[in-house]
Amino acid sequence: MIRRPPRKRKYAAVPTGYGIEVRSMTKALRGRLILDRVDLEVRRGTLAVLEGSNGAGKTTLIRSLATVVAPDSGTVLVNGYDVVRQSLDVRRSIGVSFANERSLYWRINAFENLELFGKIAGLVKPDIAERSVDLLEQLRLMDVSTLQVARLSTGQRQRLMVARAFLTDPAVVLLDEPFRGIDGEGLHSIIDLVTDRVGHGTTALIVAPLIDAIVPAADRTYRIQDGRIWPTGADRSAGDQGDHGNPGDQGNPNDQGNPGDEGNPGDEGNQGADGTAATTDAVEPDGRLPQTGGRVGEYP
Amino acid sequence: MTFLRILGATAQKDFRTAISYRVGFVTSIIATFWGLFAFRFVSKLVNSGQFSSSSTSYFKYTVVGLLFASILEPTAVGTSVSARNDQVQGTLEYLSTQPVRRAYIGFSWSAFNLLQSLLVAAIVVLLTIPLGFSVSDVNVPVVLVVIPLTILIFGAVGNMGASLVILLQQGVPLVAGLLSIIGIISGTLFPVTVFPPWLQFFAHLSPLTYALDALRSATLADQPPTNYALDFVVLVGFAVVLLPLSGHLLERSFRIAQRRGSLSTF
Repeated sequence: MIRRPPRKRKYAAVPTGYGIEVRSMTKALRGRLILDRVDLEVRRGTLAVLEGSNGAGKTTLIRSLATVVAPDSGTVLVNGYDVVRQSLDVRRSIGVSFANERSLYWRINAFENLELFGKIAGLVKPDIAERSVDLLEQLRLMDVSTLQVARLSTGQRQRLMVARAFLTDPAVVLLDEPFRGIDGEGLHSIIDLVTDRVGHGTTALIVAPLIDAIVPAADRTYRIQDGRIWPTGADRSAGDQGDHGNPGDQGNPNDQGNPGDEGNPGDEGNQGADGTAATTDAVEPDGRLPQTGGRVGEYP
Repeated sequence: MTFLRILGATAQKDFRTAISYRVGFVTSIIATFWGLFAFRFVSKLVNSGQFSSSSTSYFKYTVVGLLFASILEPTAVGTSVSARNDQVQGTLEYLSTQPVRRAYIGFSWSAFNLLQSLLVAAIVVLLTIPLGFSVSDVNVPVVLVVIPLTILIFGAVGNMGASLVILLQQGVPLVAGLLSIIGIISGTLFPVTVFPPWLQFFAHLSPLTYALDALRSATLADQPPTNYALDFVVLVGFAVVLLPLSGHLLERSFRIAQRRGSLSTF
């Protein structure tokens, strides 16, 4: 069989081990500096969680990754593609859920919303139907799938937006506050879906003001504050690569438990080949972020 | 293919939304018909001079003009309105993350409005026949070329309006106002020849003038194809320039809004 040679591309994807790679990104909006030389790396096939208070810049970061907001400076790569020069390739690589339930069409039903965006993305009808049913079942929305979105609860709409983000089986999923208005059952259905897809190679970034429930599933946790991003836990995504020295860890007194930090007695015994164990230093047994020492406001 | 797929998906979504507001479709038929019904009586007053010596009554003249305008108005203004609706609802931001060229999204905004207005126009044509409107001796090929060509031109105008909506969070009144001016100076209700020379100059800058000329000649007074040559050339020229230009402007407006971070503001 004769195969056509691939079309020459003006820009090729940068070969990188990261699904998301942000280098020294800055963004100001309406004269206010929102993100100040931000760095963020999320390895392919891992889940990163970014927490931060309201107005910290979480949504601006997600919007930048989703090509809705262009960075003022720095480099932002998603799936190896530059968000400015290769925005269409980035959009072909991502699934997004914004923290805005109005991003759904309310006068049509849940299934029709998925069908619309599946068609726009180029999926064929049988694929859309199969994937939609699969996602709606996983997120426990089948019973309400024929109801107008306007008649769904906030939590159901939230789950529908998450379903839509996964519809095209994207390489990178960006979820902005996916747990807003969610009850316990809905929360676990989202966490199960995300961890399942991450286990199959999807890269996921979740940003939320309160992330207690998702922390145990995360490979890496960060905090965003004053326009900067700081790692707050160990890097489980490093696996046995021995990545114990995240630059952000240096000199951050609050970053207790990170194997890269010196002088923290709790770190002893956690720097073996398997980085996974180190996570327990950063996360309490019940899955909450450590609250001791008044974390908020103490970051440099 | 991608473009048609997006067009179809968006039109289907808009259709589903429209049937959830069932009264809208019926009222648009009544409103269009009622406007023409009034001109049946206006026609009795002005069937003199230019119209008395012609086989074309003023009523027939306005039916063609107003029905055509009723098709073009949703195409042009509807695009800006849909862009604005998506902006206010919050769906514009999400649409802009879809893995397609953003200009395709822009062109798809008017798809359902256009189909609906074509259907309304067809129904209203049937309703006006008992009032004296006849469509015998229609030059069908000319009609089939002129109508889609003009729709494309006004679709491009609509895209430019949508660009303004994306950039400035406004643009609907501008496009609606512009279209109203174009409608009057292009001869929707009066022949261009009744205007003073300076207004006739502007009339000849409007693509609608040529489209209405061709359409009236083809529906009311069948003429040989050579009589439409100038109209065709001008309309094709407008389409060739405006379509890519509007697509470019739409893509550019998205990029500027990206830089400003204003895609999600309204």
